[in-house]
Amino acid sequence: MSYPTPSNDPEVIARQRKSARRLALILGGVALLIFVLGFIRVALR
Amino acid sequence: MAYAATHDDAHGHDDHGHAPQTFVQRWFFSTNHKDIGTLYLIFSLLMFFIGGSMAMIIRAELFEPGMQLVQPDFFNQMTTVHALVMIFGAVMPAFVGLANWMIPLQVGAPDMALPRMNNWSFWLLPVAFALLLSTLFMPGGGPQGGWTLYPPLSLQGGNSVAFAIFAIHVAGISSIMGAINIIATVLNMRAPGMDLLKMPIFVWSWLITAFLLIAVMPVLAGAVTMLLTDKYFGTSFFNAAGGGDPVMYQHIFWFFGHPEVYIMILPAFGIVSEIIPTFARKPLFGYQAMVYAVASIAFLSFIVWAHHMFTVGMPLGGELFFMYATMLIAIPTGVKVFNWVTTMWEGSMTFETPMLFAVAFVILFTIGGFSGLMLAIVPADFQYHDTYFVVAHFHYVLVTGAIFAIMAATYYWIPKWTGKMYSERWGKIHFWMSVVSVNVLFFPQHFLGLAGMPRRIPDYNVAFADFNMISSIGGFWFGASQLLFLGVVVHCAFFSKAPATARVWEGAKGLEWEVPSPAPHHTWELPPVIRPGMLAHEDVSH
Repeated sequence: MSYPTPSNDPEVIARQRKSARRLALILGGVALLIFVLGFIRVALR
Repeated sequence: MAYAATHDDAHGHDDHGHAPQTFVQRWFFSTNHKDIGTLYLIFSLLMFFIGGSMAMIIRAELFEPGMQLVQPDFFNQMTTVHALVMIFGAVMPAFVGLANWMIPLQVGAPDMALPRMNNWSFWLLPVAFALLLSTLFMPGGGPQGGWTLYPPLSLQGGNSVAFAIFAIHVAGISSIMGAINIIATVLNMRAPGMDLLKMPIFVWSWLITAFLLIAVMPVLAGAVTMLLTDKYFGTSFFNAAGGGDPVMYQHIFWFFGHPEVYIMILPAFGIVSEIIPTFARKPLFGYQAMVYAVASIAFLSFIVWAHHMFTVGMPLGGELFFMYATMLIAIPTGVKVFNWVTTMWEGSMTFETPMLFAVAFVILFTIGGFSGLMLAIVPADFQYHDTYFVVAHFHYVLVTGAIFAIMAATYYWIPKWTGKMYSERWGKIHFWMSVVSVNVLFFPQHFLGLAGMPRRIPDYNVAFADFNMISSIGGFWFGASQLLFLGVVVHCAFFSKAPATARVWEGAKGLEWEVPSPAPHHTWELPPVIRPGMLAHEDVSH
């Protein structure tokens, strides 16, 4: 298994940041979806 | 030492090529996980004392029957705001602070994955609690409907409920961002060799907690937004007169609320699972079982919510389902308790302050767990519901559980944070004062509840007088004891002359003990080289 490891290498740091941002966007998107879909579900009840 | 092998110590660590920071730059614009961790911990300590002051008012009013000190509406504000402040302002930020400080150190990462978002996560919190606490100074005072904000009661007050709702929104956004940061850090930033099943158990418990936070904080945000629109925009989500259903609020709230309970206890499990092996000088018994137990508890937390509302009149089948599902939680929790005891079994134990708090946690949290099992029994709950028995139960879980774990963690890691040893003598005095007084405070509340004393009421029948007086004396004693904690922490940070070594505790294992004490401002800029014997959980095959 390869690890996205801490490093001083700018390329590794850039890759790591990209990957962290992507994960953050996905998780934030999930949170937002739960809020919005839950709200709509209850509103349509 | 691995740290020295990968890191140049010669040029000091505080600026690392950056221009020296001013006070404002360092503390207001910080992106450093250690500084942000410190901010979280200071904030939560402040909230602990503010929420604690409210508890003192509550216990002073309940010292004897009759109305003594405050008006009933102010009493209701105190019960409501005490809970909100302690849950969202003290316990949760304390665990996030510990996560900020320790997770990057423990997984060998140079910082959190998203440092600027980390700064924002913290600075939303003072905003949230300024909103909430400002309501106490407004006409009509703060929210009075209990921390659960059940409609229609919560909507019958003034505009303070809007402030409380916005405060919950802001604190919720802060929590979600903190959780995202923790997940991204753990999944993205581990050092080579730090496999998932070699991670420190505190990291594991926080990883699972972070997923819980992302799943349920939006649910709370949705529920309170519906409250807001019901009050101000004429909707009828929970208004029976308009076709809504107030019981639905309770379902939505507790779908958030029960996982929230575990959000406040799973990181505590992680802390205790770090401390007990250190002071028993043995590896944690059943590491993998501990990880799976935390995951099981997290899963079960989503299917037990209605045990908080057995008395609303739900179908018998529903009551039975939620009763048995709740009882299932005792199994993974039992796994954890037995594993802690087994870790101590035949260990070479010493009882420094962190270990004292950890052992007290195991015993007293288990008492809270047992009273939880009693409450899970539907017919029994019809007697216990909304009585002081419930208050006793959740204070055993949250005070002698979560808060004792936070104190254990503080004593355990503060030498790493400050580079100095705290006063073991005063730490032990703080422990013994706390552990005795907390039982004087909360144990009699079981008897009050069984005898039928309702919660959230400022006056009571004279039949309840004796136990209330004992409980209040315990409350003042416990409150005063926490000033010792403040004293020990301030002394350690600013006045202690006893230097801490890198490893601090003889039996401690893990990457955080491979860096000097105090931990330099920047650590693991290059990944640590993990050697055999360095991690606490290397061989997890048994």
